[in-house]
Amino acid sequence: MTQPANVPSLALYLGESYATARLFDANATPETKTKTTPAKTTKKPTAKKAAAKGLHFEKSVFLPQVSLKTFLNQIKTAAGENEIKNIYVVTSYMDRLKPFRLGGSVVQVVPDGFENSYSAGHTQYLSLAAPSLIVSIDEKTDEEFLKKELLRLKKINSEINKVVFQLPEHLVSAEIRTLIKTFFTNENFKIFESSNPSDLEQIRLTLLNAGSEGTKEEIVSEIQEMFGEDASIQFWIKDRFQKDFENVDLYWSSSFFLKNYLLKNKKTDEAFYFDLEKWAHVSEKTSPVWISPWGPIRYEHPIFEKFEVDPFSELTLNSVGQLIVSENNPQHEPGPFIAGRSMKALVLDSFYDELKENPVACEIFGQINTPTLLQKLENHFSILEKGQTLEATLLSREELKQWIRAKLLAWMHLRSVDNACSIFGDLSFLVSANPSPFFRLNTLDFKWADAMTDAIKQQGAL
Amino acid sequence: MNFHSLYHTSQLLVKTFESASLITADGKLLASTDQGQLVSTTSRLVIFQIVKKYLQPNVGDLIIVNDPENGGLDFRHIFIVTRLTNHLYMVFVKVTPFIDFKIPPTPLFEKGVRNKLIWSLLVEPNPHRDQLTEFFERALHQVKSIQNLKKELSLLSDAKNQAFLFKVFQQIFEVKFNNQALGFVETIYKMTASAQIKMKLSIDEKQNQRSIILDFSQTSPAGEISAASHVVESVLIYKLAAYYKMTSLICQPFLDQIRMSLPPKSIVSKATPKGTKNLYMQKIIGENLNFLFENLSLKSNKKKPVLEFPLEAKLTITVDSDLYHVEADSKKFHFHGLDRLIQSKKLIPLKLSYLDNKIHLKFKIGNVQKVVVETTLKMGDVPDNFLLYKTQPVRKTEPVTWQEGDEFDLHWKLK
Repeated sequence: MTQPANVPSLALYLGESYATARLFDANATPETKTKTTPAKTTKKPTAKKAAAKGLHFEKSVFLPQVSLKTFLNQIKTAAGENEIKNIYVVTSYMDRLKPFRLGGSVVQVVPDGFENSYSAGHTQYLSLAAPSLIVSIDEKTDEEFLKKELLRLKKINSEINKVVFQLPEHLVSAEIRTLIKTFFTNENFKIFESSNPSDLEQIRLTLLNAGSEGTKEEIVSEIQEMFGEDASIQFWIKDRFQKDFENVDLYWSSSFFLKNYLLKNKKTDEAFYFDLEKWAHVSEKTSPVWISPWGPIRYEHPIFEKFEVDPFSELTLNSVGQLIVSENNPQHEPGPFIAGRSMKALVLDSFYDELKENPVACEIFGQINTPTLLQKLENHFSILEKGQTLEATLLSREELKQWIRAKLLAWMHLRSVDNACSIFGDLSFLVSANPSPFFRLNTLDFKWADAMTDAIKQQGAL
Repeated sequence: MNFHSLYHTSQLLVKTFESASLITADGKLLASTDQGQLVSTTSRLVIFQIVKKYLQPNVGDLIIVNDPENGGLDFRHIFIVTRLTNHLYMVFVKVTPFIDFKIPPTPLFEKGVRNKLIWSLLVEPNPHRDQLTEFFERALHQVKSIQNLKKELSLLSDAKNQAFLFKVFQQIFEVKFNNQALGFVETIYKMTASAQIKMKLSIDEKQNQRSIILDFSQTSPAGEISAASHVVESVLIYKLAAYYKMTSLICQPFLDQIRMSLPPKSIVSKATPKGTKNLYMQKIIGENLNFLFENLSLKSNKKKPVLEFPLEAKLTITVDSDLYHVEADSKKFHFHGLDRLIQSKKLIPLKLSYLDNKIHLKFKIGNVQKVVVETTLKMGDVPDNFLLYKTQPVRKTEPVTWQEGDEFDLHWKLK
């Protein structure tokens, strides 16, 4: 599908904690860089040059400080009189849901004796649906029964609006299945039906789709509110931008994009990826079953192994006064010290000296170079240093950074053949700072905006 | 390299495996991890000593052994000893269901290359040759990946760095030791009417010398149920490390603080040919030690705790030649591989219910040759209806064999 001239297209990377957008003219794709650019020397083109190249707007924001709505508004303002009707999204936004139970407003309709069957053999995983929002049916089920059940469920949660059917043919007659579907359709429920209701992995997939519907709608409705209901919104799903997808696809949007990028653009089947929120090994290998936080789900996906230290993990003192990386969930909100509002130092903060020279970090964390913030950061690390009681394990900020880097390199080396590997991403320069003769790092050029624009062009969408 | 870099690198290496130890050339424990069902900290050291003495491995050799009567656990737990550098060894444990016989210390790979004769005798004739090949080749690949880290291995092999690590570990332990109670407590656990395990725990500090003593004197001689001393010592060390919040810091300085006295040929020091009760023994000993810790930390005006074993049950279910595990305790119920069994129609679910913390699974056995079910662990008050066969409770723990068309139930309640 080609676009008329002067209709800008929007490439939007929506991460868990930050977003990057490029608004560009459909028939004047901006230049993409082909060389690795050192952190300190990258400069943005002037506004005039950018306009000449068809680039209306390009920016990255930290989502806990700049909401998606505000960001989209900035994009719309930059577009001026031009309407934005083609939006291409790559996302890892759904990662926000991974620490949580889902399905607070999802009803399960199941045969009697199969209540919460998806978790009966795996109780240690997070739940995908509220255990009490269950309708157990049998061959005696009639409309009267369903009405009573619905009243009962609405007393538990008046906002229920999604239903998942797990109705195997050998347990539930066609007549009953039709009755149930008609009933819930008439009650304006959004229906999710398991394609193979005897398969537990498939049931979990359907429940995940239902439980993630709200978050998906949140993203889509923000975009539609800003750019109109008729805006075409395509997400990166598997190997291309598409409009049709299941919600589970959104959990793997950015991983598939990175894998695809490596294979098609860099002719390599694995590399290590570093951005503000993820340090991970990306491989072309896939696995047919996703061991999700909610249990195994049948979904072919790229193997994406995260490093055990998260950039947003807190740095703290343990009970014997040692400085450690906390094992609690990463602290995306309010984020690192360099974001300007936090009172806790995160792993990312230990790399302050490098990040303050990096254009991407400077754009996302606007206050990073202010003297006040630097003073606060140094004071906080001073407290962490003085709080360490064991002299032999004392760590300064510099030493902390060195051991995180050493550990990261050892982890990467363990996973690499031939004592060499490729690295890419906005923060890959943090790792390549101290090269080792025993382990070669090959830095691949990568920026979300460039990579997405290329992908849009390659797909022939322009 | 500072302490953190050395320490975290050693942890990265051992955590390549579920259970592993890094050991210096003179037999000192540098790093250790245990994340499997059975703890094997001391077992790995024993195996190391046996292999080093009798086989003198070269760098790149992989020596395998699984003898429960000589340092091992059971036939499925394969211990693999490898020499990473001239001054550093690794012993790790991998589990496979495809070996059900004893293997003495055997060099399967020599300097990274298959020993063809051993391979032809051990792997080729096995009906699960492909799975075993993958199993051993994967172990070799993991070792070769570790050997690529030449700089890190060189630093960890250096005697001065090792001494430095031990010195820092000792300092950390001293701080953690001071955070816990001192004292003397004992308990007697009746295995049967005539057989007992007596445990005395003494933790003391005199003139800056710390001592942790575990004494099993007056424990009965071995009867039907017993375990090798290294099996018992492994769980004791692990529980002590947990008590001092040092599970990721188990190393020689920590081991040197502990003295254990296990009467020979007693319940806690006699190996069995197949090691079938090792898990049970580790659970019993572990819970008794936890009980002693509770008593040690007790304030005088508080009510004395009573030894109660937490509810736990484990099954192994063999469907044709595939092995599946069921694990149940107060916090979780996990039927490994259940999804696959249902997808393949080897088990046909008649009930799969999880409501109000109660789990009820009912199956009809589908198109299979046979199903063998063995209860490998029962602790605490496991209800009779945990495992039902044709609606009747299965009380015996020995393997039972079922056929296509048979029905069985599993019931469990979480807290």
